[in-house]
Amino acid sequence: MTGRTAETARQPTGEALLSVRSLRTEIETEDGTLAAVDDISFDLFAGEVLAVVGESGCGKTMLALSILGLLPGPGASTTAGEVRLAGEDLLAASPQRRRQARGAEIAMIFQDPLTALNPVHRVGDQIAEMLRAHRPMRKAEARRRAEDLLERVGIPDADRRARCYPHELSGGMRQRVMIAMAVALDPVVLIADEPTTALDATVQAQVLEVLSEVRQRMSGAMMIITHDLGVVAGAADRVMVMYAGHCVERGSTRDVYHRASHPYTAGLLAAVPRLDRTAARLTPIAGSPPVPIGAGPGCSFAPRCPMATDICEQQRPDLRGWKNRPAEAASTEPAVACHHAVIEGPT
Amino acid sequence: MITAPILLLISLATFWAAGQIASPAAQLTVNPRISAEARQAYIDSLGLEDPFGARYLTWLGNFVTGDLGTSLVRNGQDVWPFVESALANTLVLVAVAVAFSVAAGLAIGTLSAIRRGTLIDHGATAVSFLGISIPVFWLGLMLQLFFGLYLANWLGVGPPLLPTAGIYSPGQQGFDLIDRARHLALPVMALSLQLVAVYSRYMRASMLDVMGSDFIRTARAKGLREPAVVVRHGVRNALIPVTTQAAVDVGLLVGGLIVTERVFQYPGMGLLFLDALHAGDYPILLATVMIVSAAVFLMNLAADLLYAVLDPRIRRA
Repeated sequence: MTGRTAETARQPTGEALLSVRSLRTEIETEDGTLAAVDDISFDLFAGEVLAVVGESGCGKTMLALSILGLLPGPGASTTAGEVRLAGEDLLAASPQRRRQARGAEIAMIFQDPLTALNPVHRVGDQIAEMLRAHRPMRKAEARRRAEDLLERVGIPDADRRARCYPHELSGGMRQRVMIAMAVALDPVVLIADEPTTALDATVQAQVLEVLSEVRQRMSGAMMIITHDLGVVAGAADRVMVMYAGHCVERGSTRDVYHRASHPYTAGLLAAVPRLDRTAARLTPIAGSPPVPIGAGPGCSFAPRCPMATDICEQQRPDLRGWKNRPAEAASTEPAVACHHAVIEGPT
Repeated sequence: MITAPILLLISLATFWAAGQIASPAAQLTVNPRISAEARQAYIDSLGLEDPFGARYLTWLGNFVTGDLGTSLVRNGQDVWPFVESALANTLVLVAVAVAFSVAAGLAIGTLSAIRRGTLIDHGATAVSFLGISIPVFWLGLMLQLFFGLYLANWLGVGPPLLPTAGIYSPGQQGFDLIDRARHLALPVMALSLQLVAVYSRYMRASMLDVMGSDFIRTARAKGLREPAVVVRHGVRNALIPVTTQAAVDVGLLVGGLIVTERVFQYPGMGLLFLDALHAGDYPILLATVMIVSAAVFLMNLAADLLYAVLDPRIRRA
């Protein structure tokens, strides 16, 4: 196969922009402690797009919020691991430093732009406010920059739209505003959390187009969180599949699509409608994702897995690379966490 | 406008009730040495013994053309000057108390919400419930005792720290800001405690709601400083529901006002209303009731306008 060459072309050099190691985030609930993010490691290199894929509740958003240090309220906290931004350990940094990094160095685009934008402030002001929080800038200049940014994400009449309130804009426009805000300071890492989920199908493609445009202008890397495998195929270089807080499979987009070593990944792909297949019905994955409280010793996907055997109930599979070799924590090489899957070698 | 018919109904009810308490003619105070004929002629000239409907329509016709009539008990003097000075005094009291209550209530509520579950929050909650539970008349009396008597005694100083009645010290000539403010202090405290308690509760609930919103997370993700997140994004949005609630409470303020003015002998609309009620002086009674009712409607209207200013989503609705 020739896929390997495309992959090596992307093979990053030098230090990772974002480097996450053995990250664990726990949430205290009335029923016990829940590990929303469990032993997640990955590297993100310049110019790269990493897709984090999984069903609702698999811990994708909690992973993003852990990286930003924006876990909701008391009860949720990152208990182990490292988050390094260009070498600097963010989890050990002062709250002041983390605040400075947010927006300027790591920016995030949220799922629903209607609720993510403040309803009582004009959108231009909401962008200008962010510029002024990080750069010494006069109000008028920040406003002008905000209009430039709106223009850059394809909003016509930017000077007029900048004076609109969020409710006066369409869903697609609002998400463009969020994107403009996120890229305003050319962040090192841009995290997009389900950027198209709350939008009409017709608008989704436009917003993805804008996202890919801004990414090309960015010097940094992007992490896109989604459950939409169509988004992944079009936008991502690498994929990490999450299930119940764990990484169950990772690899280049091509690898993961073509090989789908993990039964969960295979299940996800089987549930996607495709125009080039004539299957009459989609195949859903039976059951629903588990709540990871007091999980047993086995694989968390075992109860829903068609291939599950006794060992799956008893022992949690580690991430394994080619020919079942133990996988490096955050390598870009493919790896899968399943007792019944073996990655035979490079595709 | 639904206001006009409601005000009309209020006037009719008050007019009827005033007539039920005592016959208007019986309340008339005149020089006892004048003849019975002269007295009867005066009663006839005022139309006091006319049928209810006729008396009401006469009063209404005069009222809407700006003639509030003459007092039955205060030597037949015009009602307006009494109302004018009482209204001015009350407006000062209400303005200061509301300004103070809004500022203190919003600050305490905000602090309570962002320090949820801490000692500050529990303390504020406890004080709020005290404030809501303590009746205004009792609070007024306790304030008088404390600031007018005990505190000065304990500290061993001569005169009371704060005056407990009236709006000026005896013998005071003309306007004196310090003296006026000192007389205002206790009535403002009595009137404010409940308002502060209520506003801080509303604000706390509203802030807790708002601080869980997605746009607060966005504000933090933008890297704003926490005070900017709390004030520009939190408080600014939390004010919207609080404004509506506060408008509903304007009517409650009137009750507290009457009691406060009575306790502190503060010569405002509440005291004028009570005096007129006791004396059966229906022209003054009606004037006070009508003006206060209209003021409540105006405050509600103002709150509606403020609501529209605060929330761009309903501006064009």
